This record gives sequence, C-alpha cells and structure tokens, in this order.
Amino acid sequence: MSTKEQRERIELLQGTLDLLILRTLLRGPVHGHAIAKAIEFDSDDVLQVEQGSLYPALHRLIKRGWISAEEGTSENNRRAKFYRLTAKGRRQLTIETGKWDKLAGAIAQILRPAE
Amino acid sequence: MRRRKRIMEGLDQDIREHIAMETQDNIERGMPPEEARYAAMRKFGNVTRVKEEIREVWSFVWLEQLLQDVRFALRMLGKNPGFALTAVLILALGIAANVIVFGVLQALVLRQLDVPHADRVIGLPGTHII
Repeated sequence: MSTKEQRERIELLQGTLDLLILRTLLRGPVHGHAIAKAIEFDSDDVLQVEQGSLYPALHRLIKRGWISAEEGTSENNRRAKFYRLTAKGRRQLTIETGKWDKLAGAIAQILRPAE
Repeated sequence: MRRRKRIMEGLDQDIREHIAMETQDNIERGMPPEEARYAAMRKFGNVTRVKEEIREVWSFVWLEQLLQDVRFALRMLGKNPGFALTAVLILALGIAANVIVFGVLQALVLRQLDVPHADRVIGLPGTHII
C-alpha cells in the first residue's frame, strides 16, 4: 500500500461505526471479521476500520440490545461468533440513519451554501 | 457478573479467530504466511486496548444487578414484616451494644488526659491516673 493510498483512506467518525455495523447486519447474521470486510468493501476501501475497534462497538450494541451474538461456524469451518440484528436494533437503525442524514445534510449546507 | 465473565472468556478466542481469518485472506492474496500473520495483527490493532475497552463496556452491569438485588431484598422484607422487624431489632441491639462498649472504652482507655503533653504522662504503681 503506498502512502498516497493511505492518505485517501478516511478514519471513521466517532459513533458512525455503530451505524455501519447495524446496516451491515441488516443483510443477515455475520461474524466480526466479515463485518470489517463488508464495511471496507462497500465503501470501495475508502473507510478503513481498525479491525480491533469493531469489537468494543459490537459489545456496546449487544449491551443496548440492538444486536445479539451466537456461536456458529464460518464459511471455512472455523468457530466464530455470529452477530444478528434484533428487532430493537432494526428500529434503532432507522432512527440512526435519519439522524445521520440530517447531520450530513446540515454540514453540506454549511460547507456549500446555496447561491 | 456471570454474564460478563462468560463474555470476557470467549473474547480471546474471538480475537484469535479474527486474526486467523485475516491471515488466511492475506495468504490467499499471495502474501507469505509469516508476513500475512503480521499484517493481520497490525490491522487488528492493540489487542490489550480492545479488551480493556470491552471490559469497560460491561463495567456498570454489576452495579445495575446490585440495584436489582437491593430492590428484591426490600420487596421481600416488605412482604415479611415480622422477619424484617426481628432483623432490624437484632441489628439495633448489636449496634447499641457496640456503641456502649466503645463509648466506655473511649472514655477510659483511648482518650488522652486533658493536660499539656498528655503523651508524656505516665502512671506510677500504687496511684490512679483515671
């Protein structure tokens, strides 16, 4: 990876990781590694998740009851914990997505006011 | 408390599996195994810090559970006033007895005499300093 490429990658804003995890789990239960891959892949590798930081976020979401964890086997027969969106998490995703749209819209308006 | 312990126990293995999966991916992308493993570990970041953060996430759960226990205890006492009264009386008696004994001891033994340089006062055989 060249330094130029590295500069084009963006660190995640505080709190947005939770939202991205919830969105990723909407497609069905997956394990932690797959979540990290999905976020990187879906953002065309722009968003760089420090993979370790995924786990505290997952535990926060479990504690709030937005996702649940269960044991399972991964595609290449490894033992892994699968994370699943709960009904509460699904509702939260809608709320959080709305909040994000508002925030992004407001910031865009300040940066590029309509002429 | 038990739930937290279970979660923390599974954590090491989860992290190991994660790094193993990333290593596998790197190998499939053509990295030599050794390098693949180091790259995976770099990408994961600081394992100790991650574990510490997760511990913090669950650190208030014990307090919530303690409050639950306290509420339950109060409810049971309310349901069983005879037992509650007995317990309160016994505690009151015990505390009172302690207070009396300590009060006497404090006055007789622990309190220093009300004179200058009280720590230098000594008792002589055949006299009473109290």
